[in-house]
Amino acid sequence: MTRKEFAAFIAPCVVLTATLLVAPVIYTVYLSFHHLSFGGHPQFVGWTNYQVLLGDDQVRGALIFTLAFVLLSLPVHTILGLALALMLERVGDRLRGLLISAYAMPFIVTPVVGTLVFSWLFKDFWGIVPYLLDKVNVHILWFAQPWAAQTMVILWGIWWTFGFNVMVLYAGLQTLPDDHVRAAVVDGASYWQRLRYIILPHLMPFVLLISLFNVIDGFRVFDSIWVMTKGGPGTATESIGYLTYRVSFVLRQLGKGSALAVLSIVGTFLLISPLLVARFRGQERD
Amino acid sequence: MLRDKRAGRPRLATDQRSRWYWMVPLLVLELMGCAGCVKAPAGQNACGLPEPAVPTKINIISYDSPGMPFFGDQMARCSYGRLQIRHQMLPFDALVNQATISMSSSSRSPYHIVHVYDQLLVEWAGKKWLAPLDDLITKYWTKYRLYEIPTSVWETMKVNGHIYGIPAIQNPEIFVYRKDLFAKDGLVGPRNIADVSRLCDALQSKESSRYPLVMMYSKMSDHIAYEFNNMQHSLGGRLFGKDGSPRFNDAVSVNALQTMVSLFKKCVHPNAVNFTVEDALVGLQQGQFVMGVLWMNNTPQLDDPTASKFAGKFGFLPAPSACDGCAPVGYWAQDSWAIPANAGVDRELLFQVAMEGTSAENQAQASSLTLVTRPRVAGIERSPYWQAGVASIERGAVGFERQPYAYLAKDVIVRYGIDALLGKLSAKEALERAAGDYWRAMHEEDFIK
Repeated sequence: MTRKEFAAFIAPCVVLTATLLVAPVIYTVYLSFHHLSFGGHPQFVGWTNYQVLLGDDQVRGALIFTLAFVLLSLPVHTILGLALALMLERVGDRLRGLLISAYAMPFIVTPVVGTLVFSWLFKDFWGIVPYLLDKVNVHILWFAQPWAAQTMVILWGIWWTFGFNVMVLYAGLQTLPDDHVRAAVVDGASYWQRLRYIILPHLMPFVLLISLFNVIDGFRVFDSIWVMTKGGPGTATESIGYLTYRVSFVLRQLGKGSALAVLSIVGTFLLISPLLVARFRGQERD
Repeated sequence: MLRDKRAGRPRLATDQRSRWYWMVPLLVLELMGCAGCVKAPAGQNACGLPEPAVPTKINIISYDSPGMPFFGDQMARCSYGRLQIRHQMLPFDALVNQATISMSSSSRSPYHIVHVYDQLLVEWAGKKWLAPLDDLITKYWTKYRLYEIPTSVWETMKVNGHIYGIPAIQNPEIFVYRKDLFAKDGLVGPRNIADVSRLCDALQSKESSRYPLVMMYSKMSDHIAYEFNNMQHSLGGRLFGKDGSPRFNDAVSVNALQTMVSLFKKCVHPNAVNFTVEDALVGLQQGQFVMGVLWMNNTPQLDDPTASKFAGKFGFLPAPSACDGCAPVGYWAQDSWAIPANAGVDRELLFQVAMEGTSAENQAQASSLTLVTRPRVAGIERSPYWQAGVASIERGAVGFERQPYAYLAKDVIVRYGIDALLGKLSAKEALERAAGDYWRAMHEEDFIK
């Protein structure tokens, strides 16, 4: 294939990617240095949007909650996903099919519907969670106490993500070479030793991959908050994604909203960069 | 005879049939789906509208609100020949976002008739995104019997002296209470907030309910800002000075918020800070709450025996006032149809389509669902909800203040108002901070040069 032919083949892809991915990002960066409302014309304001945002309590609060959401839910749904994936290996075919369907449910159901149903579990007068907690004399105001609302959103994050993790890790387990495990069994390795020295090292690239997705998704979390709490009580459950929406579309401050979007891209990148480096090194080793 | 390659057995005719029979339901579904896109047959001009010279598509958008989707559907029935009219219902936030983006654009709006409520009308008309309708209203005053709509309602459609909306329904807040429990405890409906507080004491002492009162002191749909506006208006306060400066941190406003905080702490369920209207309704339907101030158009659900345990046991009164002789602490909203300035379709045709959908006949049909804007057909005699609603309006209920920058105040009042309810800030601190943030935003958004 000549260079010209190669270029002709990849040109449509490059144009599409540039139009749909790169151009909006560049335009967002451009807008972040401007003041703009719907129907107005952009006015250059330099770093003002960034300065205002970095000194804003709301942004700080949203950033802390987003980080808490990502960092608290990540280990839980990764460990849960791993445990369930390992369990899937040990159950019969029929039950496995049933369980896989059940685990897939949270991310198959439309996010808004899933979130709505999830939030009903916590509603005071008809939710099963307050009902059960009431039986053991625990009374939590899930929608009025900031810590409780934050916990509820984090629990939603775990519920929404663990199924995906199970799928990926179970798929990873299928690629584990049988002879490695058999050799370990012949050598007298216990289940825990096989898990520690064979299975987990084999699954590490998959764990890295799901962590990468989970961090990115965690930083983008919006719809669940929109449906469950609208960022409340007060601003307790406002994530960076939700705040970006509120600044852009409720307060109509598109420049500031764009600056917030740029900051969240930078934040996400900083957070996933160790994972990217680890993955890159792993690939190089392979 | 065909042979099944896998099994090597002869394939039966039933197998062949089963291969295409499963497509029958799909075909039926497809035909059903297409039913909506079939053109109105020529010769059936149901609305008597002039057929445009060129094919014309009109898109109408509305959000869930009793009556408005019905009017939108009636407009869509005016499709005829080259005139294609489509009505789509969207979630409220989606409608606001999509309409904002399309109307602020320099190109043509894909939406031609848009459902708005009073706040949106003021904001969008203030930005010149809506087309004024004065000339068309004058022209069609008699044909569409527009004189049947009260002057006070037309006044709410005006921004800078021009009319921008075709008023369709009204939605005031009213006081709802359980007649049976009130009768059992010998209680009477309140006239003011002090009465409401006393009723709370009585109901709590008789253990009728731990949280007898439901108020929309919620972040959802910015309700708390409306309730603050109502309370403040009832006490004689204003949100803004003439130059747009904040007045919602003055003594009257602090008193208004403090009253809300006291009521909240005493008798409102703490989760109300994040209640949707449905949460409030379900609480009343299931007996968790005994009374509350709610949107009138939602109240018929309380008397629906399929959803409510206490259908027929609710009483309805005008919203109570903050003090004797004051205006009610209740909102008065109007929903109307507006035409984007960049609709790109003949404005007169759009006006006629909107008027056909909102005609006196259609309003008469919708009056079983909602309080329509023509009192003659509003069915006030039949409905206890409407009577309470009309009384709320007559006693002076108002909407949110009508400045184009009001949305900035709404945002900060929601944010700090909830902090005051939750006890994180005192009423004074909350309103001081709200005023500071609002004034900063006013400068940032160039409302103050």
